[in-house]
Amino acid sequence: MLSVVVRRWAAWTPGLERLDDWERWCRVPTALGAEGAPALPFLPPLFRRRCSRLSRLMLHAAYAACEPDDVSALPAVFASRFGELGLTVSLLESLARKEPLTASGFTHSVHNTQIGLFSIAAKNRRMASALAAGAETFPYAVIEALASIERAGGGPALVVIGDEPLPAALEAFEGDGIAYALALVIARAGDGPRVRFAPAAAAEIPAEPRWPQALEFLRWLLSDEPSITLGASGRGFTWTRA
Amino acid sequence: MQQIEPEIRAVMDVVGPERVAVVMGTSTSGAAEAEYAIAHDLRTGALAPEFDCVQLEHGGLTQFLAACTGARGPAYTLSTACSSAAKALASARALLALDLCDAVVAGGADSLCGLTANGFHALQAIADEPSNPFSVNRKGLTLGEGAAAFLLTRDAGGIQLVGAGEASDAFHMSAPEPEGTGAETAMRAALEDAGVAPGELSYLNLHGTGTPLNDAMESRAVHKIFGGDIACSSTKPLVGHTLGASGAVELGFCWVMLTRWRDGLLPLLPHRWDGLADPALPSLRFVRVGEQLKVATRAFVMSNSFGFGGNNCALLLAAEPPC
Repeated sequence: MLSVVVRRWAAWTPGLERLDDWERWCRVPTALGAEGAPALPFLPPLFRRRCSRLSRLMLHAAYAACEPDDVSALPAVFASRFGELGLTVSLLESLARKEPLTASGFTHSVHNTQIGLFSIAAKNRRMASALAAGAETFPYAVIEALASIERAGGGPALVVIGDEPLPAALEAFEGDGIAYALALVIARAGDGPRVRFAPAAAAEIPAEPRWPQALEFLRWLLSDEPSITLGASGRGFTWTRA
Repeated sequence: MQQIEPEIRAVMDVVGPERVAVVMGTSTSGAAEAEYAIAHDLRTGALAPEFDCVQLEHGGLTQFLAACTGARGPAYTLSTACSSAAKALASARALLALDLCDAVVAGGADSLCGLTANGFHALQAIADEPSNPFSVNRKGLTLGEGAAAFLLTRDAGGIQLVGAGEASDAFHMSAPEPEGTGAETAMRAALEDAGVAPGELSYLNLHGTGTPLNDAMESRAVHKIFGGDIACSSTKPLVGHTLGASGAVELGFCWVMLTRWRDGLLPLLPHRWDGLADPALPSLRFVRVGEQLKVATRAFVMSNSFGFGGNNCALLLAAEPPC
C-alpha cells in the first residue's frame, strides 16, 4: 500500500481553467473539449511561441499547481501517453516526402520536450523525468514521482500529466479525444488530503473509464466517495482516502 | 533481454510476477515502424495494416517487455532523450528502495530510424566520419542502435548499482550548458549517493558524443570534480551513440569490464580517437587500448549520460574483488 499527500493541484482543459470550474465539473461532469490552449502570460513571448499546445497545457498546469518558489525547486515528472505525436507524425510525413527536417521541429518532438521547456522557463535544475506507460500513464507518473522523492531524499515533487487528441493520421487508434493537463504537488507528508493506493484485482477494474485516469482521479479526489478503482486491460489501482 | 531471461524467470518464480517491475528507457520507441506506416499512408491512403499506434508510443516498449516476461509489477518507460536508459536504472533502484517490488528489469532500447538520423543531421550534430570524442578534430556523433537490460534485486554481492545522480541544465532545448554545471551536479550527486569520494573512482565512462559542445562542457565538468588523472573513455567510437539506450548499453560495458577484473588488474574500456587533444579544453586522461589499472580493493566506476533538453544522469557501479 502506497500513500501520498496531495499538497496542491491544478488542471486545464478547454473551458475548465480555474479551480472552481473543476470543482463544478467534478460534481456534474460534462463533455470536455479538444480545442484551445492556455495563453501562458507569465512567460516571455519568444518562449511562448516555441510552445506547442501540449507544452502550453502542461506548463500552465505545472505553474498553476506550484507555489511561486516551488517551480524552480521541485523535482518533476512530466507524463504523457502520446507526447508530441502530432508533431512526430508531421515529421514522419516530411521524411516520406523526402523533405528535410528542421532542427527545431525535431528538438520539440521528443518526449521530454515539456519537461525541458519547463526546466528552462522555471530555471529548475532538479532531477526531471519524462514518462509514458500507455493507458496506465497516470498511476505510474505518481509512482515515478514517489521514486523521485526517494532519490531526492524527501520533500515534495511535481507531477504533471497531459495529453491531446491523436493526430488525424492515427485517429483510428484508441485515444482520450480531449486535450488536458493535470498537475499535482505530492509529498509523503504535510498538509492536504492523504491518498493510499494499491494494485487492484483484475475483476475489480471497471470497463474503460469515461475520462482519462488523471481526470477520473481528480473527480474522485474532489468527491466524497471513499475509493475508486481505475485501470485498463485487467491492470489498475484502487485509490482510497486515508 | 532474452539473454537474461533464465535469471528473470528464476527470480520471478521466487518473488512472484506482481513483485517484478519493468522500467525501460527509449527515445525512438518504434519510430522506424511508424515511418514505414506513414509513408504507406501517403502512398496508398491507408496506414500499413500491421502498424499499431502502441509501436510508436514510448510506453509500448515497456508494455511489450512486461508481456514477454510476464512481469506484473510497475511497468513504465522514461524518455529523456540520451539519458533515458540511465534514468530508468536510477528509477529502478528507487522502486526497490521503496519496496514496490523485489526485482526490476531495467535498461533501454533504441533503433536506427530516419527520424533520428535526419533530426540529428538537422541539428548539425552528425559527423561525416566515425566520431572522434574530445579531439581537436571532433566533428560530431555517429549514430548507433542497441539495447541492454539488467536485472536488479536487493541481493548483496555481485556488481552493485550504488549511486545515481540526476540534474537539469535549465539552459537550452538542444545545447548543453557550456560550463557543464548540470553534468557536474549529476556526477557529484551520484558520488554523494554512493558515499564515494572522487579519488576512489577507478574509471569514468564519458558521455563523449564527439560533438563540439558536449565534449567541451563534459571536459570542464569532469575536470572540476576529478582533475585530469581519472582514467576515462567514451565507448561511442566503438558502437556509435545508441541514444536512448546508451545509458544502459554503456553501463553494460562497465559491468562486463568489472567481470574481467583479475589478479588485481582491472582492464579498462579504451578511448578510440586520433589522440589529438583539444588545447582549448582541460586535459583528461583517456584510456589507451589494452590498458589495465591496478585495483586491489573495492572498484568503483561511473557512467555519464546527458540528454538534450538538459537532462543529466550519472550512475555508479561498485564491485568487490574478485568478481
